[in-house]
Amino acid sequence: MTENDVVNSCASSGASAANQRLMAYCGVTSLVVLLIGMWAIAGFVPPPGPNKSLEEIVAVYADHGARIRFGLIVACAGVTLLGPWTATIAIQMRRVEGEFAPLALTQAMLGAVLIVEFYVPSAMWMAAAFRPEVDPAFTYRLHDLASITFVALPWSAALQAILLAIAILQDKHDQPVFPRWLGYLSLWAAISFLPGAFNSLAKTGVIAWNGVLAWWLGLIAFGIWILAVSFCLLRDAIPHQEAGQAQVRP
Amino acid sequence: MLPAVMERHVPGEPGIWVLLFGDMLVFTVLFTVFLHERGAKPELFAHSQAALNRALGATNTLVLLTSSLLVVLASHAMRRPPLRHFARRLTLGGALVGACFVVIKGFEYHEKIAAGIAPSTNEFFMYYFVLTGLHLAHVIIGLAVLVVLSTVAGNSGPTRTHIAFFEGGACFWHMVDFLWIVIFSLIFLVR
Repeated sequence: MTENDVVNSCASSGASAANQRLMAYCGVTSLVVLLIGMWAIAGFVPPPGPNKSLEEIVAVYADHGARIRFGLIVACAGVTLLGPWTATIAIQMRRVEGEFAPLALTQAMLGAVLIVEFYVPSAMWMAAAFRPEVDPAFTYRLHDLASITFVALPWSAALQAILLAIAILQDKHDQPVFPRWLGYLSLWAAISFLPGAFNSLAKTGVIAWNGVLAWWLGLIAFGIWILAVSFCLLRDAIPHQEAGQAQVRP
Repeated sequence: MLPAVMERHVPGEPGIWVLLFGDMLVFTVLFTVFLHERGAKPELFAHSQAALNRALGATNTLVLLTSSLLVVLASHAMRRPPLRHFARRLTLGGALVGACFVVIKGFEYHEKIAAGIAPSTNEFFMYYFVLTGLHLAHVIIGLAVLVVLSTVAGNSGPTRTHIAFFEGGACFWHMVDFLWIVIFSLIFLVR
């Protein structure tokens, strides 16, 4: 290795670490912006429930249409930041797995899918708020469609968390990339995401789309998971990579 | 090595307790919600409870207790080199017995659905299906964990991490057993 190569590799790893740090913060930022948009502005945490009547739902959209649309625009912008966050996770998973990193690759693909799963129902809610009174029955059913879609697709995020958990628990480095508790926390998060999948089976109670299990547990687990993964990226994985501490056990 | 084996210790690795306590917290919230709803409609809940098949519930309790016992014996064998060769077969035995739970639960659900009972029938049955369904998901995950543990047990020279991982997985299975006992008492038995 010439002196020039050493300088180049140091320079590029420095930039990579700085970018990764920024991308890890994207996860936290994404969560905060999502909550500001959906909760503080749109008032859609949770969205109006499935036991509400047609008149009530149409009234929500007619009275708060602008707020709902604007809040969801903010939320969509925030969710986009899950992209870089997912990529950083994939880079760090690849350090566990080695050059051909099947878990990291799949995790990244699923992360991209997750963003779309936020975008599409958000756009449907925006459309419901667009002309709510022209066809009230349609507004009512569009609200069903958007809310069911938003809550019913936890599968990709759950598998993402499971793949991360597998990589963490397989890690054989003396200085592991992620702490092992994050693997177990990811498994808990994955299980906790799933009840939402069943939301279309009930209009009231814990698995309705605004219920304790389907909505609140899913949201809380998602928040905890994003914060915990970001924390471990910033405290463990990225600094250790930068310091070159990840030596494979002989 | 033996004195260290005899020392008291927290089973598994510390991280597994994040998952176990997290899960038990979720179920505790659900039990509280269930009891709250039951308090609001005592007649409906008592009347609906009579339609449950207690014999199948009790059989499943025995199934999980037996399976847990086999896994306890497997953990015991893992920590003692002379017995270690039993660990794999005991774990697989535990998984096999545990799989009976899924089959029996299948019968139970079939019986309910054939009688026209669904989650939408009333609040009691909604909670019945949600609690037992979420628990069933845990049983299925637990069975997968036991299969993974059997391959860990198959290692000729397990490391400290292997043994800790094995114990952690076994603790998950015991939690699944424990949660079933609570669900069985709460939904099938308590009047």
